[in-house]
Formats: sequence, structure tokens, C-alpha cells
Amino acid sequence: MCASAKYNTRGPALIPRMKTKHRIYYITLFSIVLLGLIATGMFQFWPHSIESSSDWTVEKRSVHDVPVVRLPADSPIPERGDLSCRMHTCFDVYRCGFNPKNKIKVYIYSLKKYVDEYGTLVSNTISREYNELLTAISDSDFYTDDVHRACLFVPSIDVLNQNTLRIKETAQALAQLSRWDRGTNHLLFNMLPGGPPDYNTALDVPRDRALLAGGGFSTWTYRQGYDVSIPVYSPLSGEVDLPERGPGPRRFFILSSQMALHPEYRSELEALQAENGESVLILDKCTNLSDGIPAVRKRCHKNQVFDYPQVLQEATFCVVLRGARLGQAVLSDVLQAGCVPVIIADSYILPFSEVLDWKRASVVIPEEKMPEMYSILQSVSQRQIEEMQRQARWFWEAYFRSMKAIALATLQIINDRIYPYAAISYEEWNDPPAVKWSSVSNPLFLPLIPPQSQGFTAIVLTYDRVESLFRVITEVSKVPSLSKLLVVWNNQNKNPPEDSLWPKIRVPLKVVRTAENKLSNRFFPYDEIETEAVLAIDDDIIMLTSDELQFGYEVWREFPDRLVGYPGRLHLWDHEMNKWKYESEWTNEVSMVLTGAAFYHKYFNYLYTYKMPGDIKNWVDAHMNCEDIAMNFLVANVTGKSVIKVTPRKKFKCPECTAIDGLSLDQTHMVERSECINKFASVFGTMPLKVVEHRADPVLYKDDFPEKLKSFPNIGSL
Amino acid sequence: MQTGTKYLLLALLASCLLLFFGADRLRRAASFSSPKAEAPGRWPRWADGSLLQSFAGAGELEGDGAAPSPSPSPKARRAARLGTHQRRRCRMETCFDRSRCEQHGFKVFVYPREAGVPVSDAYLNILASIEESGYRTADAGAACLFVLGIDTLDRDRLSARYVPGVGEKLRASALWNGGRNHLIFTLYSGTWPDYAEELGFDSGQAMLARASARAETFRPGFDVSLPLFPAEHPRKGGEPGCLRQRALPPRKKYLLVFKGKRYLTGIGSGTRNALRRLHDGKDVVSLTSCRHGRGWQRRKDARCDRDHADYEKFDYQELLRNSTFCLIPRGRRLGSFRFLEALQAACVPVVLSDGWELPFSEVLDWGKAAVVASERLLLQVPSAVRRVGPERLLALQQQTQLLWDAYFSSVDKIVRTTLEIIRDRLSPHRSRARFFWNALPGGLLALPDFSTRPGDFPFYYLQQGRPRRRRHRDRFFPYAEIRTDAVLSLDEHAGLSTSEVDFAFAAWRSFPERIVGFPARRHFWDAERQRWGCSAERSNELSIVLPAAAFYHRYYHSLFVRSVPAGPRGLLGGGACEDVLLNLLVAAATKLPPVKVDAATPGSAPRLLQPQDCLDRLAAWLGHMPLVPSQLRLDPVLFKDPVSVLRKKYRRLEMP
Repeated sequence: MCASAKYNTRGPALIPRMKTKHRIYYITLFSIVLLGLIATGMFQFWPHSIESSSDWTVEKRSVHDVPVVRLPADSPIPERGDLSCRMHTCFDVYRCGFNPKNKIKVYIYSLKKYVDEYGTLVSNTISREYNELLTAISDSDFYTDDVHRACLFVPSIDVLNQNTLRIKETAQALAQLSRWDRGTNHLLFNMLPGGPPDYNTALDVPRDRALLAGGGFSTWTYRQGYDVSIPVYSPLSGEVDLPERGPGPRRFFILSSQMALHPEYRSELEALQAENGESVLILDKCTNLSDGIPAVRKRCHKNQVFDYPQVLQEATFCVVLRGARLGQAVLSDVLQAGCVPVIIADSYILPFSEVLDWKRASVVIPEEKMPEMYSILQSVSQRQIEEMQRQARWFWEAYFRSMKAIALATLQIINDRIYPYAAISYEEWNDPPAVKWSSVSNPLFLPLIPPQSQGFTAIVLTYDRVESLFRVITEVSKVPSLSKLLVVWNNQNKNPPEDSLWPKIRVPLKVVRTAENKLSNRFFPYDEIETEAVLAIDDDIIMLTSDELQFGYEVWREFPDRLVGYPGRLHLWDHEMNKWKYESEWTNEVSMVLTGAAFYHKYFNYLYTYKMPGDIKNWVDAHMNCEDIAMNFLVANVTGKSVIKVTPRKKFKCPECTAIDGLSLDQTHMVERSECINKFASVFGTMPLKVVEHRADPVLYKDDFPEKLKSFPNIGSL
Repeated sequence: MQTGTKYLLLALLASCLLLFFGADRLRRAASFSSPKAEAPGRWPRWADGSLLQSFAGAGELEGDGAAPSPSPSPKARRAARLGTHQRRRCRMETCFDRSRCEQHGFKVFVYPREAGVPVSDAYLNILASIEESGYRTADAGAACLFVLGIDTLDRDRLSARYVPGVGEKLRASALWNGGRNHLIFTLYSGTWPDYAEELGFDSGQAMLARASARAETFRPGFDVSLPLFPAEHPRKGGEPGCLRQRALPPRKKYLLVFKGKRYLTGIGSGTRNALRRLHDGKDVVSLTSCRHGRGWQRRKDARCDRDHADYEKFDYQELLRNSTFCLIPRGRRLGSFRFLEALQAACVPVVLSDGWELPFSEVLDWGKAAVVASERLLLQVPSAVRRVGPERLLALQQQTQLLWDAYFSSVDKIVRTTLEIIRDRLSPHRSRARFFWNALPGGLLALPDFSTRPGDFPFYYLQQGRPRRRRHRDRFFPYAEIRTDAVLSLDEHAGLSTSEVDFAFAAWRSFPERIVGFPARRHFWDAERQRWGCSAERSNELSIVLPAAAFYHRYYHSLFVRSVPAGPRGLLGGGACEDVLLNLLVAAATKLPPVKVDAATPGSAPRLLQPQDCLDRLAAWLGHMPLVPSQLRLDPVLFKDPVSVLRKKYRRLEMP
């Protein structure tokens, strides 16, 4: 009503000579125009999100419904592949640029249909595998849809199988790609190269400087550091689900499952079988299968029929012989079955050999040594076989199982060449998750005994016990190897004493004030720490003798990657409660040392501050307890080594606090500490602490020997 | 206007609008399928994606397509390969006769040296190292590998050390056989102006162990890439790496340094000319000098004098030791001395030498110890290395030391690495995986004859699970029946209690790579007599634990027997030095001291006293003194503590 009243009042002004009966008409007209405008406007803003987020338009498209490109007979053909190409000669690194993420950008050309002059197709449409591969690249972090920012170009022309292509026309199709530029920075994927009769080991399509990810390279066609050797994908990987088989004896020792073996090889294998009997099984095509059973999934030996690839799991070693081509899809099946491949293909470049350590997953035997295969394989120990089986399965899972895995591994290899600063390590490529999980990579792996002259930095965390602090400072300053003393003043409400009040000591004394009263301040890698060795010491530890501390430092020098401390503690499994328990009784074993006084490498301060797993650091700060247990966990987890307890010292008796050290307090303390161990073990996902039965004493400790001739005569009591 | 017409117009207008709208939509739909598909968006999800054919039929994957019936026999194809892949395309299977190595094993024959022809010290060192490697044979008929007696290290025709007429001499030799099974060592090849890789003679089918190898001409799996080492490189032992401490942050005074020649013209001048642009006067120091060769002043440019002033301000050694990264640009040739210098100094090499096949690249994983940058991206280097985090940096620094000490610090190590690489190729199934070469203590100390499984060695137990518990009573020979990891070596005087043995074994399990035992000795430098001495007196230090009563890993048996060639074993004088030698070998492998545990009964009289010069002779043979002193002893946790004896697990240790 209000609106019409508005129009009514406006009406005469806009259309003064209009009759009232026409008004309604104009109003309707006006509203229609308005509606139209609004609708158009809405369409301008909405459609983008609709189109890009939903697949409705895309789903309707077929691979056959793509633009057609006609290739004239005289359109240019690229040069043949240049065997001398290397990254520094044929690859344009400038296109990749300096990139904070250290990721190359990969562009995929859109799909086209190529026909020759007469309208005949140049190749089949894209294959299922190549489509999967391109989809995987497109979904990965490597992908860019901006051709100008791309560093690597992947044509959508499918050259996985050379048999399906017309070589000259495919080459012409490559040459007319918008960014071809002699193939620079172009990556082609090929799994079945060459053709009869001589089967070249690299794709025969002229491709100039393009990189080739090829599935059957020999050492003569593989351009090391430029090409990437990839597996021949086995479509069975996607079809058959073979669960990983655990270690243990398998029915056959050697198995050969390839159907199209050259008669010469087959007779050699049969000779092996004749010699070694049942443990060698040579399978062949099945000749008299009933209809309906796919021949691919069956193998026969005489009249016995075996399921393939399941039968591979029955064998310890599986032969992978060269065929006319070097790369064989059976390798993938064999790895999937966790069977150790015996590779007999001279000069074959194994898949991803640039990064994978195949000697840990396979046995390579020269072709001429085939007759000795049995004895060679028998010399492999059972434990090694089990490791190789695990390794083989891992290679399949990580790098063979899908076109996606193959595509991403290939791109990662090229990426690592371009950004060597951020390259993936040997361990990341080669160690199966179980090994990565259980093994350690000690950050201080080099066996170095730091020079004694370096000395150590003592760090005293203090709040307000000034008197006790000063006594600690005086005591510690007597240790010959002390090179600096750092007081971490953790009290924000009170200023540290004036400079003049501090004890005068022979080494530099620095006070660091903290922003917050947190326990983790004790483990911060302060720039003021210039030595490798850190002595963390509480502001009430005054009972340690100078000899004891100096000896601790000497022991740390021999074990610079461990925590070296005085009183030891133990973790125990409580069978009743089914959880870990903290133990401070006098036991024959230790697994932790208290950091009330302990030597350790400064690097562990860095780890504690920046790399502590989970929320442990905050948890410790919140609970004001267990920072020492956290440190013990951290060091043991990263080094895989035990702590070193030195000297007989069993506990830190602080004179002032004996009174409040009541039994009940002690009890809650123990419960809390046990809780910490359980909490940390769950965060770390494992119990990294190592139990040992020894402690370190000076060589002549308590020996019948003149005290004054001992280096450390004054080792304190308990 | 009639009302009807008006409403008609209205309807028309409305339909116009609708049409516009619809057309817009249609246009959009159309544009999505054709021109727009060119650029943005991901790879499409095809409607018929699931109907696509596989790239190859099952038969094709299995049987390589066509029927195999007429395909040539593999043996014939192998023979054909032999013919076509020669010389520059040589590989082990085409240019090396493996059958020569099968009968007598891996034996190396060194041609007798020709009288009157001078041989450089470096080459003499190489020959001497082969001699001592244990692979040498005097019988050419039994040899698997041949090494020339003629010095081929310097093949620069303009050099004074160039030996002319090598080709004729080789052709005249009855053993040459077209170079088959020969190994030729070369450090410098080619000369001004192009420094091509020519040797000045036809090397035929011989393998080349060469420095500054180019990736394009390097025959992978056949040639061996050597580091360039100076003439005065020590034959044995060699200096230790310079890393003494692992500071945090692991950065040193300078981030990146270079000090060297700037070529005014010729090959390699491109990169060297650009280097000075990196200099920022703060933590990136890149100094170049135009002074080199004759007549540099004729070609000098405006910058030379200014650069020289800076150049004099810094000392090369000082820069090397105080820098985190060192630029290793190509010289005239691809390799340079500074690569090994930086490696030793724990200055992480930043290699700017496109196409250089890095030393022993066949087995070494250089990505763990160096940064291989691109000459073309030189200017990005400072910012890229600045972003390397402390963890990686610390690992890089330590790995430089590992590699330096394992493979490069002496001619002996370089030669033995070369031989071991070739030996590994001959029996791929009995060779070291890449893991062994790149982890402590290095491939030379991990014998593949012992095992190819990391877990069988004492060094990798943290990566590969812990050793199992068993003992044995044998001495120094790897008897096949020793299938357990720990060996308890005892002699008849030991008289240990089970409690003592149990404790020692528990301790050994924490230190399986060391010798853990009771009787200890200490080595010292006798300044008066200028030799190493060994003291049996009780002291505050120890560096030897006698295997008269000790646990150690069974691998050390093999190491003992295999790595000590016949000569020095004779030098041991019938066994009295054996105990010391075992300690030396273990210390050389681990760089760690042995572990002493305490015995309540200090055994009856110690075994034979070592001849006084034993230690000295062994150290001379090794080229250095590997023993490391220790000041501690391991005791049970409650050892001699004033608590009830019943509490103590190893109470027998305290009883007199």
C-alpha cells in the first residue's frame, strides 16, 4: 500500500498527462523492467560460484566431445630426443623461479582430438590410466591453471603406450602445443616404449628436449638426472585387493609367473626346476580354461591351475625377467604380493632408481648368472628376506599402486632437482612407515667428543630464593670447566638483586628476565648460551661437589647426545592398573635423570622449545610439574638412547624444604609424576625411555688407590 | 494506443527480457565447453571417465604385444649389444669381462713401472694404496682388474707432468686387450682453451676413474667419478674433519663465502665473473682476483683493482673455517680442490658446476652433505641458503664430516672406495645398499661379505632393532657357527663370576658397537722416545679394553680378518698385538672409546704383555692413532652404595 501510494504521488509528476487507467499498465511495465534488471544482476554475481563449485556442466562432457585439431601433413615435427640433455642444458629453470613453497607449478594442456589431413584420428582417445594420472596432478599441490606461471607442462596427448600411436602425427601434435618451444620443460609419460622388432627402450616419438618419464629405460637411453624412470602400471593393482602378508615361510622358494617368456629363458628356468624340485614353480598360460574366467587371472603349471596374482604371495622370491621390453608390469604385481623380486634384465633402470634404494627390496642378478640363481638366493638370510618383503610391499604401496602414486613420485623427483634445498631425504623415500616410526634419526649422529676447553653454561632457574641462589652460584663457580652462568629470573613481580649484591665469580654471570613465570623458560635456547653443553641446575642444589659436577661434564663430553644427570628415576609398568608408574625408590635400574642438575646439549633446548610433540609444553607450564620427565622423553625419543646417570647420588636433599616434605605431599607428587609419564607416552605414541642397569663412575671410584692420585676424589655421597 | 496492444507490447518486452537472460545463460554454457576450457579450472571429471579403455590390454602387458615366436634369442641380443655399445657407450655388461673375476675373485694387477719414466707422488700413492688394499695380485693371469704403471693423472698436454706416448705403449702391451678390464686414474684432462675431456690417448674399453667428470659423457655404472685431490694429499690416515662442536644455531660468522680467481675470459668465466655480485660485505663474502696465469693485466677490467683491495683483506682458510656455506663454482674444469677443502672444514658446499658428476655419485647421496645449485640461478643462492633451517643445517654439517672421514681424507680411502664400488658392481646381489654408503661408519667399514642386512652390523642397531642375547667363547676368527651378535672373549685366566658377566653383557647391550670389558689399558704419547706407548698401570683414563675378558660384536671378527691384509697381520708378531689391533679397528670404525666395567676379582696375571712397539707399528700402519680416551667406568646403579646388599642385583661385584 505504501508503495502504491508512493507511485501515486510520483505518478503525475513522471507522466503528467497519463490517464489513471493507464497507470497500472506503466507500473507493471516498470516492475517488469526492474525485476529483469535485478535478475540479470543476480546472474552476474552468482553464476561464477555455481560453475566452478559444481560439476554439473562438467559431468555432461565426454572425452569425445572435445575440440578437434587438424594436423596438416607438413606441420613441423620435433627433433628426435637429445641424448645429451641434462637439467642444466635442456631445462629452463627460470620458469620455475624462486618459490617460497619450493613447489614446481605444473600445467596440463586441455584435451583435444587430433586428426590428420584426412580426418583420421591420430591416436586413441585418452586412456583410463592417463586420465587418472592427469586427474591426480590436477588435484595435487603442483597444479596450476595459469600457463604463465607454470614451470612444467604436461600434454594431454596420451603416449603411455607407443603401440596405440601414430608416431609422426603424435610428434606433430606435440609440436603444435602452445608452449612447446622445442619441448622445453615438457614432461611425457610413457610406459610401453618401442615396437617390434627391436623394441627401443625409450619412446620413439620425436620429442626434442622434453623430459621423459619412461617405463623401460636401459642405461643407454636413460638420461640420468633428466629423465625419470617409472614403473609399468599393472591394472591388477586396482582390481585385486591383496592384503599384506606377514612374515613367515612361504610355499615356494622361487616362482616365475610371466606368460610370455622367451623359450630360451623358459628352458633355463625349467632346468632350475628340474634341479631343485618342488620349491621352484614355473607358471605358464592356461590352455584349457573354461569360458568366463579371465585368462589374466589364472596361471597354470602342467594341469594345476593357480589364481593370479594371489599365487605370488605363496613365494619367497618372484622372478621378473625382461621380455622384449625391459619394464614389466609383473614387477608391480610381485611387489604388491610382498614377494621379493629377482630382477633379471641387464641394463634395466629400475623404477624411481634416482631415489629408491632397490638393493633393500630386490635381488638383481645378471642375465648370464641365471643358472646360479638358486644358490645366490639361498645365501640370503631369513631375516633379510623378511625385511626385503616388507620393503617390497612398501614400494608398491607408496610408488606403484596407482597412477596417482606414480605421477606424484615423478613430480616430486623433478621438484627435488629444482629445489635441492628442500629435497626429500633418503629415509623419507625408502623407509616404510613402520621403520620410520620405530627408528630414530639422531640429530647429533656424528660421534664427536667436544673439546674440554669449550666448557659448559650453567642455567639456574630461580623465582625468589635469592640466598639459596647465591650459594648455588658460588658452589657452581668452583667447577673448573664452567664457562658462563646464566640466571633465568622467572619472577615478574620482583626485580633481581642489584648487580653489586651478586657473588663475585670468575666467569661471566648473566641474568635473563622472563615475560612469564613458566617452567619451560628453563629449557629455552637462549642466545647467551654459547657452549654446546648446558648444565641445568635448580636454585637449591648445593650438595653437589665440584668434582662431581666436573666429572658429570666429562661424562657428557663422551655422551654429548644424551642427558647426563645425578639422581636417576625409573618408569615401571603397573600390571594391576595397566599403566605406567613413576618410581623413585632405590632400584637397580634407571630410565630417567632429574634435571634439577643435568648436563645436556643445547640443541635439546631448541627441540624442547620448538619441536615438542603435541601440547606437552603447554601442559607442563600449566601444571608446573614434570618438565624434567618431558625432557627425558624428548631426548630418548629423538636419539633412541638411554640416559647416563653419574655417581651414586640418589636424591637432592634441600636443607630448607625437608620440613614440608611430608608423606602425603610425597604421595600426591608420585601420583602426579605417574600421570605425566602416561600422558607423555600417549602423546609420543610410544614409550621412548630406555632402561639401563648401569651408572658412570670415575675409573678409580672406590678403588684401593691413593685418593690424591685420583682425578675425581671428592665424589659426594648419596 | 489500445489497451490490448499495450499489453501485447508488455508481453513482448517481458519475453525479450527472458530471452536475453536465457541467451546469456546459453552463452555461458557454451563458453564453458569451448573457449574457456583452454585456460582455467582443473582437469575435468569426464562423464565417460569410467568407460575409458586401459592404456594396454592384459595381453600386451604380459606378452609385449605381438607373438614372440620370431623374436631373436636373448643371448643373440646380448651379443648384439656387446657389439654396438662400445667405447663411449661402454657399460659393465658390454665392456667388462666378468668371467675374469670369477675364478680368483676380485684381484687387481698393477703393470710394472717402466724404468726411467717419472711417476708423480700422487700416482705412487694410488699404486701403494692398491698394493695394501689386499686385492693386489702379481699374477696377470689371475687378475680381474688392471691398473697402469704409467702415470695418467695429468692429461693436460701443457702440463709438465704430462706423459707422452701412452697410446703407443698401451698398444704394444700384451695385456692391454683394447682396454678391457682396465682402470685408468685421471685427475686432469683436456687443456686450454676448451678443457675438453680428452686424454691424449685411446682408452678403448677401459674404465675411467676421473675427476671433474661431466654428466653427459660419464658412463654410468662404468666410470667412477673421483674428487680432485692435491698432490700432497696424505696417503693414509689423513686429517680429521674440522667440526669440533655442534653449535646452536649452527650458523657461523659468515653465511656464504668464496675467495678465488675470476677468469676474465674463456670457459668457466661466466660463473666466476658473476660471483662478485653476491658480495654484500656483511655475511656473504665473495672475493675474486683477476690475477692468474700470464698476461692477466692485458685483459684486466675496471673492477680488478677494486676487487683486489677487498681480496687481500680476507684469509682463505679463515673464511673456510668460519662460514656456514662455501661456494664451489666450477673452475676451468668442473671439479676443484675447494670442494674437498670445504668438506673437511664442515663448510657445507654449494656446488655451482652444472653437469658435474659429483665424486662417487654412484653410491653417495650428496643431497645430505651439500647443496647442488644451478649456475644459472646463482643470484638466488644467498636467499635460498639463508632459509635452510637449523635441523637440516646441523645434519648437513655432520654429514660433510662423515663423508670426508669415510672416503676422502686420504688417497688410500679414495682408492679403496673406487675399488669397492667396482667390486660391488660385479656381484650386485652381494653388494652394499646405498644406505651403508651414507650412514656411519661408511661403506668401507661395512663388509658386504659379512652381510648385506643393516641389522647384522653393530652400527645401525638404532635404526634396525636391538641385538639378541647370546654368548660365545671364541677368539678372532669368524667361525661360521657364531650366529649370535655378542661375542664374549675370555682367556683362561679371566675367572669372572656370572654376575660380572651378566652385568657386562647388560652394559654391552647399551653399547653394542663398542668393546665392553674388564681389563683396561691406556695409550699415551711418549714424547721422549717419540712414539706411542701403552700403559697397564691403573690410571684415571683408559682407551683400550683387552679382549681377555670382554664383550664385542661378532662383526668385528670379520672386520679384523678381512680388513687387515696379510702383511700387517704378520707384523702383529704372532698374536700379542692382536688385542690392541682389535681395539684400534673398533675405535677407527666408531670413533668412540671402549667401555670398562669393574671386576671384583681383577683376574689373575694379565695376559702376555704387548711388545712395546706394537701400538706404534699399528698406528703407523693405520696412518693415525684412532684410540679415544675415556674417564669413566660403568658400575651397577647401586654399586657400593650403603644400602642393603639384598637390594642389589649385582651384589657379587662388590664382594672382595
